[in-house]
Amino acid sequence: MEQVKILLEDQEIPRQWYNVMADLPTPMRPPLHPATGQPVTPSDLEAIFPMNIIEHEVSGQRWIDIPDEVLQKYLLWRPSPLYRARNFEKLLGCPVQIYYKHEGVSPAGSHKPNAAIPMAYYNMMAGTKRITTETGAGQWGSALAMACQMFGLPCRVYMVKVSYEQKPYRRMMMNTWGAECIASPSNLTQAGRNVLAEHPDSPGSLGIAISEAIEDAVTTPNTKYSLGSVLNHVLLYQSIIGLEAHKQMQKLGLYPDVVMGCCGGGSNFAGVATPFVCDKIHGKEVKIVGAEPTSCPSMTKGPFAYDFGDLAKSTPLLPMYTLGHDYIPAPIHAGGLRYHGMAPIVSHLVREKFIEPRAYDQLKTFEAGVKWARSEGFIPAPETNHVLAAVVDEAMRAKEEGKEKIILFNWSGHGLVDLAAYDAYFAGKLQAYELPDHEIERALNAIKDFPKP
Amino acid sequence: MKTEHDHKLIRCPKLGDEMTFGYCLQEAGDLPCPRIVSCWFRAFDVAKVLDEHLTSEQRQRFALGAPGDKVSSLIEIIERAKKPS
Repeated sequence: MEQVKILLEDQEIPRQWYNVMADLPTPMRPPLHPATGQPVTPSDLEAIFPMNIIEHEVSGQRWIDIPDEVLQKYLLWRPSPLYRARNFEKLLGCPVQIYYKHEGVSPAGSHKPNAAIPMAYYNMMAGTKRITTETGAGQWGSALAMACQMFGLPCRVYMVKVSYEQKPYRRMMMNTWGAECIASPSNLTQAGRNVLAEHPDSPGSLGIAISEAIEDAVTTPNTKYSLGSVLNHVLLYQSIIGLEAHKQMQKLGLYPDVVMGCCGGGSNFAGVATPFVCDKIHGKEVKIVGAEPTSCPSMTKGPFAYDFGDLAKSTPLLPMYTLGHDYIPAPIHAGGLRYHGMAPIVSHLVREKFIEPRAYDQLKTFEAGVKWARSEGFIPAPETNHVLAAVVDEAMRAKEEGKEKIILFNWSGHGLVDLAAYDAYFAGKLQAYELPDHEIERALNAIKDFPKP
Repeated sequence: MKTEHDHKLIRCPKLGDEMTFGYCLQEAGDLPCPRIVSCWFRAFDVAKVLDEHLTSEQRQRFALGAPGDKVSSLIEIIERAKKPS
């Protein structure tokens, strides 16, 4: 019988989160207040976050104690198992050992509660009486709903209307956990009413839902806002994933050659990766790969990793440079990971070359996810499929190189509430990529001389 | 804004849901989602579609519209929410 799971006992759960900010060789630029252009201060965020969370957001402290009350809630499903994917290895037939952190075992089905639980706790401790947030299809909203219930906090989730209507099961989860789930745009906020006045049939967007959630928090006494990714404190709380994985790999006497995760906002990826980034910063040889959901692999290679906002101030004519139909809007020039809502910490680590980003198109990712489900049994969330495509890619590279590799990745969540996505894939409804490589190269070559920082 | 590609479906990385190109075209009000080119780039010549369907004023706003830092954008929303309606 071959070992499949590597488990930690309850008392072996890490007692501190790891803050990668303490070890960055080059400091990150602070965010700037849009009105003053000066670095943001804690008081700028007090309208939406309690001060204890703001302190985590700006902290440079390496280790931050996890409160006992948070640990007690984590123990409902943590430490999460580390699995060896022996069936997937056999299917791939490559010289790799594949280990994964199974974050799908949480009650919400993903890594999201790792951050939602401390956020609800710290809000409760700070005297917050109610929490708001926004959600797309409901992964974050459902996790926060669960966490708020655990600490006795009413929760209102503004859910993008098109998802509210086409994906009802996560809003049912939110209701089951006691949260209010409101289709956004709504009549409950001025932001929502403004949209509805102009577009009564608006399907909604994350931008509208965020505006509603924040307006609700700012204008209602004792109400704060929570968000599920991108910000430093979220990545801090998610480090529990990588810290456990570190201990579990140590039990095997192994260290990964490659650590991988899928990159949406960056929180689950940073969660598994940052403890290993710490090792890499201190000289350990380990490759760290973020799999990003974009259709254009070249975007992740640069030369587009500059902040277009700064460039626009100095060269206002640049965005008007139109190459016939080949112009690619400047938001893309800002770099796949830097621009598209990626966590600043992750973007910074990409720029500093501690993390290698890779892009995989959606059909390849579903192909990998189905291979996984048919060998390992667990059905991945469509987001998780991006890292599975990257794992397949890495396994093939190991085969070409004739080198054995140990791969560790984060299996960020299950897809059991997202089977409509698989249905669309099997029905051939998801858009295939048809633009030939030479057309893409031609378009990218046209802008290759754009200035870089 | 209507195009021949409106019905095409993609997994939206922001929402975690399947969305049509038609949704992406209006995600930011009268502008497309900032990710529209990177998400659809390999499917068809999306830059050409935008060129054909956006006015030059919209193209300029779209090209200049990098949202920047998340914290900065949260502060913008906070300041807007504080203003009397």
